[in-house]
Amino acid sequence: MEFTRRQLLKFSAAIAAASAIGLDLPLPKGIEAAVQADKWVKGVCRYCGAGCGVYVGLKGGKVVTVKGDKDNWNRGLLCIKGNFLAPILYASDRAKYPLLRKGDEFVRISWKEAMDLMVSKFSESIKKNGADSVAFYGSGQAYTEESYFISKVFKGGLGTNNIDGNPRLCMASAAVGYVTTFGKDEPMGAYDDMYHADCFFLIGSNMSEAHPVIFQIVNERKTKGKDVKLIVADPRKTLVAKKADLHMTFVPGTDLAILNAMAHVIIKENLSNKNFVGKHTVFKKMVNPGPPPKIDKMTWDDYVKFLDEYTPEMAEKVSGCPKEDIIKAARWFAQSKATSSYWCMGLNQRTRGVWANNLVHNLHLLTGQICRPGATTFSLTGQPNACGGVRDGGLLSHLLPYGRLIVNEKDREEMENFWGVPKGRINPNPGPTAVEMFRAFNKSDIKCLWVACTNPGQSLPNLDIYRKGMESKDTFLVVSEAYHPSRTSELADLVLPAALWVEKDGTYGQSERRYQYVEKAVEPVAEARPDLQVMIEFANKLVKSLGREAEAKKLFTYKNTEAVWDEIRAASKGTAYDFTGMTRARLKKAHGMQWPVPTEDHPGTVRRYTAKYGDALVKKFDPQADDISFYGAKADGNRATIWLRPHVGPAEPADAQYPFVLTTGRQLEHWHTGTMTYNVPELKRAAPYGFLEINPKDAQKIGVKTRDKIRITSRRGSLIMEAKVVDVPREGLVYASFHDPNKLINVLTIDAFDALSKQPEFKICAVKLEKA
Amino acid sequence: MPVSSAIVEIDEGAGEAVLNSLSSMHDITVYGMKENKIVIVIDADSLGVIEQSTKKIMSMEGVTGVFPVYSSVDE
Amino acid sequence: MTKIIIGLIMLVAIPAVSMAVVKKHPAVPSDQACEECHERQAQVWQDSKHGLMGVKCVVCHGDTEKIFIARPASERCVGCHAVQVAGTAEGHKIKQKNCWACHDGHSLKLESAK
Repeated sequence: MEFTRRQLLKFSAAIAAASAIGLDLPLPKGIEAAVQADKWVKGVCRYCGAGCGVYVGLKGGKVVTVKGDKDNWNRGLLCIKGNFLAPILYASDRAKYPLLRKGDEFVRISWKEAMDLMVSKFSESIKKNGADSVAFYGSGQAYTEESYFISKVFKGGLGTNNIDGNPRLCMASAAVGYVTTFGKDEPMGAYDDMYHADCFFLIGSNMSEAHPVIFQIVNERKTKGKDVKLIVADPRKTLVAKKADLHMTFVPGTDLAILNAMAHVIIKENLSNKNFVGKHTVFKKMVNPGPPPKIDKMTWDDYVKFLDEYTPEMAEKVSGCPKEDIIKAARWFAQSKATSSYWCMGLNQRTRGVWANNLVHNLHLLTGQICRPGATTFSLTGQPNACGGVRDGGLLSHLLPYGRLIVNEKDREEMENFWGVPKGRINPNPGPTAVEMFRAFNKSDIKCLWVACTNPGQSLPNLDIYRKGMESKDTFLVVSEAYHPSRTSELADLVLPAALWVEKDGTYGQSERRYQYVEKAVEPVAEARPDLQVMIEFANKLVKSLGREAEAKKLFTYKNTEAVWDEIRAASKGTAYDFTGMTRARLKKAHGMQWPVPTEDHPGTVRRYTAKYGDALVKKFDPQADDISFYGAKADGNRATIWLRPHVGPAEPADAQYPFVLTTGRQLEHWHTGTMTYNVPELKRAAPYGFLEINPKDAQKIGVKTRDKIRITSRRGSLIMEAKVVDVPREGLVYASFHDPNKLINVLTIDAFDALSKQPEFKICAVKLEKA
Repeated sequence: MPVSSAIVEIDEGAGEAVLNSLSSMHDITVYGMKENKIVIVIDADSLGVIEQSTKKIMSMEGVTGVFPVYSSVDE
Repeated sequence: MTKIIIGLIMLVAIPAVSMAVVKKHPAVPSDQACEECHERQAQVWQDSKHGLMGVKCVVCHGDTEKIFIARPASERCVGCHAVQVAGTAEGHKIKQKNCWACHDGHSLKLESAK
C-alpha cells in the first residue's frame, strides 16, 4: 500500500474527524483506486433490442469490464446482464475449432477441411436437386454486414429465397403490422418520446425484466412528470404492472376484443380526432384470407358499425377484464396530451399477432396520438439487430433490402441491377419461413442447411419434431456458433467456431432506428472466425464451383466490413430508409444515428413521417404535405390504414383436458437461450435454473408449494419443473422462461403461426399440471 | 501546506445540496457522512486559505456549523 | 511535527475501523435465494431504486462461491455509474472513492436522510 506523505496526512485527518462522529471509514486499499482498464473501446451491448451503448474496458489485450456509454440514449446505464458482459468471451465452452461429426462424437478438423466439405455438400446438392435444396437460417444477433451479405449470396447469387432468420420467431408480426398499417416497417418514434409522454400504454411487454433500461426512463418520467399515467395490460402481475396506475388483466389471447372495445369507447364518447382521421387514414377490411388475402376499402361509418358489437361489456365477457378498466384506459389514452404505446412478444408471438399490432396502431390513428413528441406507437425489439440486419437489411425470405419485396417485380429488377446479376436471377416466389424451413428440412426437401448465430434446437416451438429432423442422417446441418455444445450445435454435422461480439466489428440497429457501430476490441479465441469472413470464403468457393468464378470475384469479394457497409448504404439510397449519409466514419464518432440520414451533413431523424419534427423525407416523397405524411403508403395516398380486425382467440386455448395456459417469456437475469448468460457466475447465481411460475390458488388446488416438482404436459410433450408459487400469473396461467438449456420448455409450445407474418404462437398453448 | 479536517453539520435533508456545493470547491475532499454530519478534509496552500474555505462553507445553504478536528502543517 | 505524530497515534489507536478484508461466504446451496437468510437487507433493497431496476445482490456482492465481496469497492459500480465513480458527474463532483461513505448500501439513501 503506497501512500504519499500528504495522502497519509489527509487520511489521518479524515479518520480523526470520522471517529469523532462514530463514522466507520474503512482503511483504503490505496487512496487512488486501481485502474481497471487501460483502454476503452466503444460498442453496443450484446443482448436485447434496447441497444444500450457501452464502452468495453481492456487490460492486457483482454476485456475486463464494461461500462455504459454516458453520451448515448442509455445515459451510462446498463442492466444486470450488460453489466457483466466481459465473462461471456472467456467461457470454457467457447467453440474453438471446426468440428466434424463422426457417429456420436465430434472430431477436430482444420478450417480448410471444413470449408471444402461444406462447399462440396452444398454444391453437389445444388447441382443435383436445384438451388432450393439448400438453405440458410440466420439471426437478429448477426451484424448487418453479415445478414446483408448472406442474403445477397442466396437471393442474388444462388437464386433461392431459402433464407430466413430467427426474427421470424420474434418480430415478424410487428414488421408486418407496421407494413400493413403504415406501408413501411419500423417505428416512427424514438426513446426520446418517453421523456414527453403523459400516458404510457404497455401491452404484452414486461419492460422491467425484458428492457430494464427503457423501463428506467418510463419510471423516471412517471415519477418526475406531472400526472403521468401508466397503463399495463398483462395477464401477469409483473413489476411494471405493480407500478401501473391501471393494471388490466385478462385471459391470454383475448386482447383483440379489449383493443377494439377501447376504440369503441373512444368513438362513442366522441374522443376521436376526426380531423386527423379524415386527413391521414383510410379504412380496410380483409374479406377473404385467401391466400392471397382479398382486401376491401371501408369507410368511417363501416368502422363505427363494425365496432358496435365491441362494447366494454362484451370485451369483459370475453376477456375477464373489468369493463370499468377498459373504459378508463380508453379515456386516458384518448384524452392525455401525449400517449405512447409499447409492446413486445405478448402481441407478436401470436397467431393473430399482426392483427393485434394493427389494433394498437388503430388507437393512435383514431386519436391522432402519433408523430409528435410523446405520442407514438412503438414496438420494442427483442434482439440487438433484428431491425438493422434482418428486417431492414432484407434477410427474411419474402424481403429484399430496405423495404423492397420479393413479390414485387420492380423491386427484384432494381436489386438485380444493383447487385449486377442477370435479369430474372432473383426467384419471384417468397421462400419458406422459419417453421416452414425446418419442416422442409425434416422432410429432406432441404438437404443442406446452414444455421448461424442462433439456437433453433432450443428456441423453435413444438421443439421435439424439429430436433429429430436436425439429427437426421439424411441431411447436412452446419452450425456456426460461439459455444459448443449448444442445443443446436450438438445436433450438427459440422460445427464452425464463431467470433463473438467485440471479437469482430460490424453494425447493430436497435428498436428506435438507431444504427450503431461495434468496434473490434480483441482477437477471437482459438480458431474462431467472424461469420462474415466465413461467408465470404464460402460464397466465393461455392459460386466458383457452380462455374461462375468471375461473378464470385465481382459480387462476393470485400476487403473489410466497411466495404460491405458502403454497399449497404448505397442500397438504401432513395428508399424510405435512406441512410446514405451514415458513413462508417460518422458512426465511429457518433453514439449511434437514427435513420433516415439521407446526406452526410444530415444529423439523423428522431421522428419519422412528420416534417415539423424533422423527417426530411416527407418533403421528398410527399411535397404537398404540410406536416404529417405516411409516405410509406404511397398506394393509399400517403395515408395509414385503420384495419377492421375482428377478435379471434388463440390457436389452442385452455380446455377441459388441458385446463391451463402456458406462456413462455424472459426473465431479467438471462437472455434468449442462455448460452452467454449462464456462463456469467453472478447471473447463474441469481437465476440458476428455469422454474414454473404458478398462482397460489392454482398451486393449492394441485397441492404444490415452491420448490416442489410439477409435471407440465401439453399435446406435444411433457416436462418436469420446479414450481415457484407467486402471485404473479393470473389464475389459470403458468409461466416459464425459455432460457434454460436443461429445461426445454419449447417441447410443449405450439408451432401454429400467424397467417400473415408466419410467426409462431409461443405465448399461448394449453397444458395440464400434476404434482410430480 | 496545511491539511485540515472538519465536521460540517447540516440541516435535516440538506445532504444532497450541501454535498453538491462542497463538490464544487476544489480544495475540499468529502470522506463520508453520518446522520447530519459530513467529514471533509481541506487541502490548501496556506492557513489563510483554510480559513477562507471554512467561512465559505459556513455560509452555505443548509450548513449549521463547521467544526475543525485536526490540522497539520506539512513541513 | 507534534501534531503529525498525534495524528498518527490516532490512526493506529482507533478501535472500530473496519478492514477491507475479503471474507468468505458460508457454503450454501447454489440455488438458495439470498433473501432466505438476508431478509432484512432484501426488503430494504426491494424498496430502493436498485430494487426497482433489478440491480440484484449479485451485482454488488458477486456469487457466493467464485467471486464474493462483502463490501464492494466502487469499481463494482462502474458499469452504470462510471461518471459518479470518476467524480465527474454533474451534481456529483465528489472525489470520494467509497460510495458507502455517503450512500447506504441497500436503501442507497444518503446517510443524513435516514
